[in-house]
Amino acid sequence: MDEVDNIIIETLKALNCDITEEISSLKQFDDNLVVQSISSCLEAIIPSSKFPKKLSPSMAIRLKTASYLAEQVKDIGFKDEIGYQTILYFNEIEIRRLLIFLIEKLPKDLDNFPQVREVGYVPEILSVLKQKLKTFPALWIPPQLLNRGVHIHENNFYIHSYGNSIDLNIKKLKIPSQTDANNSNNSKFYNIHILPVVTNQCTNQQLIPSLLFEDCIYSKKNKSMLDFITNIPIIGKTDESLVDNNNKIGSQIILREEIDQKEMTKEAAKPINQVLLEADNIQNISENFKVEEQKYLTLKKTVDDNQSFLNKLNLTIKEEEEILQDKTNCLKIKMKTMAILSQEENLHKLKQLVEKANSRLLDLAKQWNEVKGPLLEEYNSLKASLLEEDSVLQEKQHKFKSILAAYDEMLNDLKHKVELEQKLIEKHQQQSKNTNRSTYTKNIMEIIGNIKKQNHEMQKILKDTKDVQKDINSLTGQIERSFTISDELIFLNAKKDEASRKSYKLLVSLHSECGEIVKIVSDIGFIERECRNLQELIDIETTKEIAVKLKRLNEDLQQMKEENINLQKQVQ
Amino acid sequence: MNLKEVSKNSLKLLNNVNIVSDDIFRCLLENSVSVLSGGQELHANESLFGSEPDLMKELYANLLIAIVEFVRNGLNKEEVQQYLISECNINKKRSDVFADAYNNNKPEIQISLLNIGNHPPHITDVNWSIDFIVKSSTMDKFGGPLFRVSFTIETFNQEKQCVQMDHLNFTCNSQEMHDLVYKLKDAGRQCERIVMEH
Repeated sequence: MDEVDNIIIETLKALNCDITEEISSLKQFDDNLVVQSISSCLEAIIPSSKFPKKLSPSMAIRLKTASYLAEQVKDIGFKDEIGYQTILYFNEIEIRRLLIFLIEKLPKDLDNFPQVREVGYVPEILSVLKQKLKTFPALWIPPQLLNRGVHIHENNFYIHSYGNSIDLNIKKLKIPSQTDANNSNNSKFYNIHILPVVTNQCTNQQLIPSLLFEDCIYSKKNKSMLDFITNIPIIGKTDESLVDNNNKIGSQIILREEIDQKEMTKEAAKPINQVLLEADNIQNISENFKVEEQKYLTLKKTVDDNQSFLNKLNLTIKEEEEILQDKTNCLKIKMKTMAILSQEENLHKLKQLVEKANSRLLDLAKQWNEVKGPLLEEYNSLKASLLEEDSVLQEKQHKFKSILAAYDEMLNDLKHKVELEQKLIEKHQQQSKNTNRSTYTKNIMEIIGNIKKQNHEMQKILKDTKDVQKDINSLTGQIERSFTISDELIFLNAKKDEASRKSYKLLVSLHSECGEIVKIVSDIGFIERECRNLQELIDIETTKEIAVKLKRLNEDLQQMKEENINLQKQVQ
Repeated sequence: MNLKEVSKNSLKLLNNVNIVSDDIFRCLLENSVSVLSGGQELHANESLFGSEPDLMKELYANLLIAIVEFVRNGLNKEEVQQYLISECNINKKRSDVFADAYNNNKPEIQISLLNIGNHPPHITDVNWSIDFIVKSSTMDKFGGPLFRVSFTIETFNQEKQCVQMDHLNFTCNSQEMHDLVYKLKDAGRQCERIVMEH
């Protein structure tokens, strides 16, 4: 029964009952705990219902709650007898039966039951809206409600509009300084009476940028500086390099100004008339120069053209010369052959030479054939062997390929198996939470084993009793038979003999008495069985602890009476 | 985060109770945060400056600079206190008052900083209506509903130096409306993808 209790306590804990660690069986339950567990079970079974979880000190309310709970349990379909007494004056067995029934009735998935979906159009829309509002990062807000286009929510800035953005526009602010070097009376006077406050030196929009940055160097007034700066590829990124650059730019500007000034002073020294004359001269000369230059350019062009023509002519001459040389060479060779052929001796010699050469050619051909035969054979054999080797190689390759394929397959298999293993491990880990279940099943299996054993023993006992019955039957049959035989024998003799008549009488009485004895023995057995049954009944009754309960009932009755008296007093 | 030495020196004036009394200090702070939040000065400057207008002008300017710099660098209350005490040598009491005022008005000034820059017009609202012309003098049949959409656009008017509402009006049929919606959704999806990638 320990296992059953464990399961019950476990499920009750899952229903948020206050069961302490010390309680390990239903024996240790008190009536408060019983009420609590019954009401939490009922709440889980009947959604959107509420049941009292504690007994009140007042007897009357106790009775009411107990009978209310009992009624609810009956409504669910509990078939056994149940009333307030089952809950208030519970015994272990009954309460176990009740709790088992309630736990079986619990909805299968406890996670599902609190999320009871409200049905209907409006709640559905509401839930959708809620969901959307949760996920919506920046809610649309009418622009009139925004603070300069920005909405602040939980320390996050949601920028809806940059309509209020003002271009970066900087003004040079004049700020008086105590540590200023030329802190003369005049500047002090200026600072005190004339200089406006910083907030009045620029518009409100310009204030923040002007406070943060200074751009005196790059102002529009200093145009040459501006041009110079636009020609610089990259102005240094860090503040320090910016300062450096500024210094450089400054010094360069000063240099340039100095040079300009010097030139100016030089030119100013010459008389103006002379300058004008010289200017005229210069203009004339430059015009002349231009005309001459154009002439020169045209001449140069014609020269270039002629040169290129000359080059072309030269090339053609070279080609013609080459062709001429080839042709003269050809002519020379032909002349020589003609000269040789014209003499007869020469012709004869030539014929002989040709014959010799022919015979030699034949010899050589024979020789070649001799050499060629074996070599060809060898070549053929080698080729055949090569082919064989090739085929062997191919076979091997084929094998190798098949092995490779098998290897790949096995690798794939391995992968699959590893994946499967991992999945199974995950599953196993997930299932390991339900270790209780496995232990329960194990226990159930054990119990089944036990039951089987018991069944076996019962069968044995049954067989024994059957054997005994058979013995008894055979014995009674034997008695019957022996009696009838002896009865016949003695009855035959009884007509003739006085003594045998007597013995017959004795036999009859013996028979009837023996029958009585047998009857008594069987009666005793019957009574014994009845006794045993009664003993069992007594045991069951004693487990119910009626006496203790009656005592408690009496006490409660007493208490109720007292309460009633109190109430009556209060009424009076 | 680094203030100029000149500013730091000037802020030390806060320790001088003779020139800057508690009341004047509070008024100066209120003026500063109000101006930086885009509002007007709450107290007349002339009444605050008393006998030393040049010093007060300097202090006021440097207070403004300090507050803006703190906001720009995103310092929190404790960091501001820390900075004022350790770097500018300002006493605990004054720096606490400063930090409180700073902390209370930081979001407003942050918004002011956010609103510096050049941006294209922003769509902030939309008005729309669906018309269905059954018959008109020129045509007997019409393809379907006509969507009349008017976007409200906020843009900064440089001449008037204030926000100006414009309206962008257009009319389209359902086909074109589908096109527009599809393109807007596409653009939204693109943005989401960019966000996912970064």
